[in-house]
Amino acid sequence: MAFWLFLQLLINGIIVGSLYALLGISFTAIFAPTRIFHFMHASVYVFSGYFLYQFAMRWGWPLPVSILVAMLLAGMMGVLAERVIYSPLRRMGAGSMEMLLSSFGGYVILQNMILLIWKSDPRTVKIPEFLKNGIPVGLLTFTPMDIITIITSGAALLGIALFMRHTKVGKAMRAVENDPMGATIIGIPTERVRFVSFFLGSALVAVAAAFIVMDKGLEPTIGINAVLVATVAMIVGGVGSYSGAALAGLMIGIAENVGIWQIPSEWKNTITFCVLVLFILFRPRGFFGHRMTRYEG
Amino acid sequence: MNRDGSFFKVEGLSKAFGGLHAVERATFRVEKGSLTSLIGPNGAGKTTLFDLISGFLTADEGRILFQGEELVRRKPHEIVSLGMARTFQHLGLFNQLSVWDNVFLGLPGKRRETLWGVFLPRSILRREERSIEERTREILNFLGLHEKAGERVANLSWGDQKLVSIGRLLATDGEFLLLDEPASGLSDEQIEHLKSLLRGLVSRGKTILLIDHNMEAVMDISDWVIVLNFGKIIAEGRPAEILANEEVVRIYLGV
Amino acid sequence: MIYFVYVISLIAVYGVLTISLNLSVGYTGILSVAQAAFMGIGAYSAAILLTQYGFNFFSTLLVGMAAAGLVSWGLAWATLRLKGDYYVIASFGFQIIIYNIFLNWIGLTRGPFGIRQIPAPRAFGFAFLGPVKYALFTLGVLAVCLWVARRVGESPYGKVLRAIREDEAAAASIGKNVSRYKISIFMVSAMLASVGGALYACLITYIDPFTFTIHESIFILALVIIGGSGNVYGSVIGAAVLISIPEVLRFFDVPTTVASPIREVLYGALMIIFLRLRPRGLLPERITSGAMHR
Repeated sequence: MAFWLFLQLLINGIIVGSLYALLGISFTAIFAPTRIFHFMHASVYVFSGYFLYQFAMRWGWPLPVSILVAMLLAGMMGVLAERVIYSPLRRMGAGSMEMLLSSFGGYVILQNMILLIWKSDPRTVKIPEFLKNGIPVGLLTFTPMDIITIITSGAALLGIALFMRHTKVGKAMRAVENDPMGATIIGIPTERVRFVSFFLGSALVAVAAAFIVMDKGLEPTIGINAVLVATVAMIVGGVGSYSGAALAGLMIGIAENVGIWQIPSEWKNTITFCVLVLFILFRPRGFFGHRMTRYEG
Repeated sequence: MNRDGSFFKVEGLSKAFGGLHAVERATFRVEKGSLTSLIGPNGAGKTTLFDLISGFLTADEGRILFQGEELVRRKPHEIVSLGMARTFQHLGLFNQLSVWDNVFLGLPGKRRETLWGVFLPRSILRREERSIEERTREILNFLGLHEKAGERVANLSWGDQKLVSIGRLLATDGEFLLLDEPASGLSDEQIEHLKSLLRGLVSRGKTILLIDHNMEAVMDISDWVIVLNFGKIIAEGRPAEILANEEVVRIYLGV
Repeated sequence: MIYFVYVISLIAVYGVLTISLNLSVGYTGILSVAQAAFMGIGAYSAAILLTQYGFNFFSTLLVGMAAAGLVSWGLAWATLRLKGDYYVIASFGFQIIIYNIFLNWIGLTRGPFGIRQIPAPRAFGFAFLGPVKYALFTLGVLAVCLWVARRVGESPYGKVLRAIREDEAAAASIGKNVSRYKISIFMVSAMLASVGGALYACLITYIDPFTFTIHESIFILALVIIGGSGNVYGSVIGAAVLISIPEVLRFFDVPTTVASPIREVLYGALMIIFLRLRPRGLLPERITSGAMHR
């Protein structure tokens, strides 16, 4: 009997984990080529949830359309952050400290705009009832929503993998990641790479946001948790490794769900972050990350 | 020349980054009171070698012996206290501080530089300060920087900043000085000044190991030259011997 | 009038917090986002010891400082060799962990229910009851913090901190034990933050975990930037300006649910603007150059 419970938790974990994998990849897509710790990613995440809410619940648009438009707006927000906040600093020769601090500032601004526009009450994005009906399979239960979630995240992950490997821009992104100086020398349009990096990362995070919000509800404070999971996934998986981030995200999802079996649920957050801190201390390059070169003075 | 390595020697030193062998089984000696130059094409591993010697990187294998003390696995500040100090290619000066402060900070053994020193009454601090002020003034005078003592380093010319970095180096009172590209970015006149400065230091008993790309300067002032390529030492000897070495010439003409 | 005095106390408390962070961020260049965690350690130490064990205030301050000192020592020792971005991430993770402990260790902190009715401090039989006396008390503590920070800044120790901020490797290359300096200043910073937290607890008389979040850490960080990285007088001015804004708005009948976010948007924007235009903030630090013009 316990086996089936375990299996159910495992599968729930995989479903949540696939969304966390998306979070990890969305963040890697931004951090790996640009080396900017884009804390405002949290705001883009939350805003995506609120966009979805606004479109689907307040304006009555169909869910798929709402999600797509939210993705588009999220992408634009990401690019805007890059153009308005990071680029000017970069041109001034500012260091990563200034970038990060500005990112915090941007986060605060956007966070409070949410409070001003939508107030702090928790919201929900309702999904059609039939999607929530459990379908028994043996001793396990799935809902159609579960299936849609996993298909969507799977498709997104696959899409990214193909994009990175087979498109010019995707390959350019990887080149910049591996050797930023060399990439500029051989004429890779770093500006366009940054644009795509931020747009893609932000649009992806919107997908994750949409499904997590539809499942767990919407509140202004969910952004921090998302960016933390994204960071943990990225670091544990190895900075620069998309498959690593995805794998790590998956593991976090599984650990969270299977973990509650034994550990009281309030502490699972803490466990996740302890894992993060331990990795940073003892294996900063994660599972698959590139070996760090000698320190940059 | 007594090259027994009692002053400084490196044996079988290796460092790899992933698959890249930055330094491979480097073995050489530096004689006390000499000026030795480390040359080689870009990426040959010269700065990595400096980083290994000065404690900023830990070697994968090999030994570094400075006056009998093993240096591998020691922290940079410990190595300084043993009597060795280095400069950086990028200088690493404390840009928002004055020239005076930059040199002053290099002076060793200041007990007042601790957290407890913050709360000591000023009179006690002044006593220690007076003795080291003299030393700082000496160094600034020696380098011709005394008039710019109060200026913020960020406002100085590159040539002057170079001098400040040497001043800071001298302040550490190290016997063994490592200079990373001291001649880079300097005018011919400044390089001449630098050459006599460095020979002057040697005649006062300092031992110098330097990295540079300026062949003319290197060959002119060095007692000994070590050539590095792809992480390996491929030649060493007196300047004349190195200039006559075919392999070295070939490397530099970029075959 | 009483309300005005309350605001003064709040400014003094945030002045202390900002100065504490300025020591590590401004003087030494250690970008920590965990200041709220240390504030919380001080606040909870005070709250628990005052309400449940009847300690006197100064003892709770000492306990809080000791706890903050110990925790910060451990954190610093473990993380200070991390480079820039990785350090911030570790600091971030640590902040979240401490927040979770405040939230979930209900036996100790009463979790989300918080701790109420925290009494005003008593010292030497003299109770700092009443808003005016408490305001004077907090201003006194602020004055002490300013003095300590100034002494640190002008001392030889402070010079080394600045050197570390400019170029750590170079500081090590001239014989400075960089780790030791970073750990010591980080501990001082954490201990001062815990003092700020204790003062905060007694001022508001009620604390819960939701105050000591990453948002709070970022707010204090913003105050450091806006007031001037490395300038402690600026820290106090920055705190004064930003704390009073919602109060001023409230004066014009703007409701709190609007006034508070407006203040936040403002400081977020100021943070970005100051980083762009004056990376060193409102009042740039004064560089004292030591005895040299002779």
